[in-house]
Amino acid sequence: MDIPYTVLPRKDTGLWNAKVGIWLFLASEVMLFGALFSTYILLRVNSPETGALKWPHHLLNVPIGTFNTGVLIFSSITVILAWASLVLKNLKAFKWWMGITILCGLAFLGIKSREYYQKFTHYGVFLRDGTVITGHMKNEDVKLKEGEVTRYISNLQVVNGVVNAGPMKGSEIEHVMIAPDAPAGHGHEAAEHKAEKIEGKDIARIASYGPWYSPYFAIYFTLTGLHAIHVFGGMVVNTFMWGPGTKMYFTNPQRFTNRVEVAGLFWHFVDLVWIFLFPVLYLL
Amino acid sequence: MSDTHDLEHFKKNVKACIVVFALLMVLTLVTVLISFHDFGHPHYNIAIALVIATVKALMVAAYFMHLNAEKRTIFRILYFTGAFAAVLIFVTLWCFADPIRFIH
Repeated sequence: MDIPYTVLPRKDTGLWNAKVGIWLFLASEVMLFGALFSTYILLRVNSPETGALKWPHHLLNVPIGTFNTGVLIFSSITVILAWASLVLKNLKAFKWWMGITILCGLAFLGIKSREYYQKFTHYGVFLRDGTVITGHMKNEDVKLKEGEVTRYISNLQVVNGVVNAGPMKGSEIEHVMIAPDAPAGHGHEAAEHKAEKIEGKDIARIASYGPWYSPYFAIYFTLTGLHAIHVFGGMVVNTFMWGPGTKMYFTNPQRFTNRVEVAGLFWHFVDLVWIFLFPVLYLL
Repeated sequence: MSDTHDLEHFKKNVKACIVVFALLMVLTLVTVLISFHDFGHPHYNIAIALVIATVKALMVAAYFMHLNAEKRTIFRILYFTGAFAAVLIFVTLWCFADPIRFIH
């Protein structure tokens, strides 16, 4: 069965069907991200005003985040130029602009992964007196109590052969060595001091900067992770349009142009979500 | 787009998108810079940054997603979306009116 109204508008809506379809989908996406933004507000308003778990300010790397924002906005204009090339019947230009759009998506995800990696290898040692020491540790920097043999202290730990996800309790540890961060940089992981030794009896818990670290990191990973999945999804569609999907251009150019327009609308929505995520998570 | 007039109009719109792109970049830098400025209370910083973000989002919606020249059907969908999203956030924030919060 052929899908009706792929090119010509329906009388009652005044639009071809895919246009209505993508906007209905984007409307549901607004509700999805809306729910998570209200979660953000709730977590932030209820976060403690002092102490290690208070809402951080400029904790993430602002220059890298700014650059990545630029990459995403740039890819939004290139996807428009790709679609405009098709309207002007220039397939070659379409291939170029769409290719650049896909590469921008790839660059965005690459930079984001690098940021994630830096967080997963950065630790906070929560002391029993309420203070917290943040810095870098390696696996061999954690000495466990006797009998507890193998361990990796990143997001996955193996203690006595049992894999645990999440933070580690101080009671399992004899001591750790940690290279603390320099105090109060503007979000940069500035030059480090030499490693300090902390006894296990003083430690309440150790956690890397994963979602388990604090409410802030929980919502940071949820929002940026969901957004990254959307970037990936958009890239899959764009790559299809750039590659095998182009076949349609030779049989039904207007329908193909409409498809690219709809893919572009989704891509702009992903950009639009990031416009709010960036200040909310990196700057405020 | 068969008409020459339509084509000219279309090219004009694409040019407008490039101007919007440049403005978005500038506003991004402005947001970053003012986040290092102290406006007296963090609330002011949050309000200013969110206003700029909303302006940017509207620019993306109006020009990149060409809502500035779209059919009524889509606006009908979006009116409902906007209303329901506002209710969603309002209902969540309503929990702060719960008196149990002030017991402890």
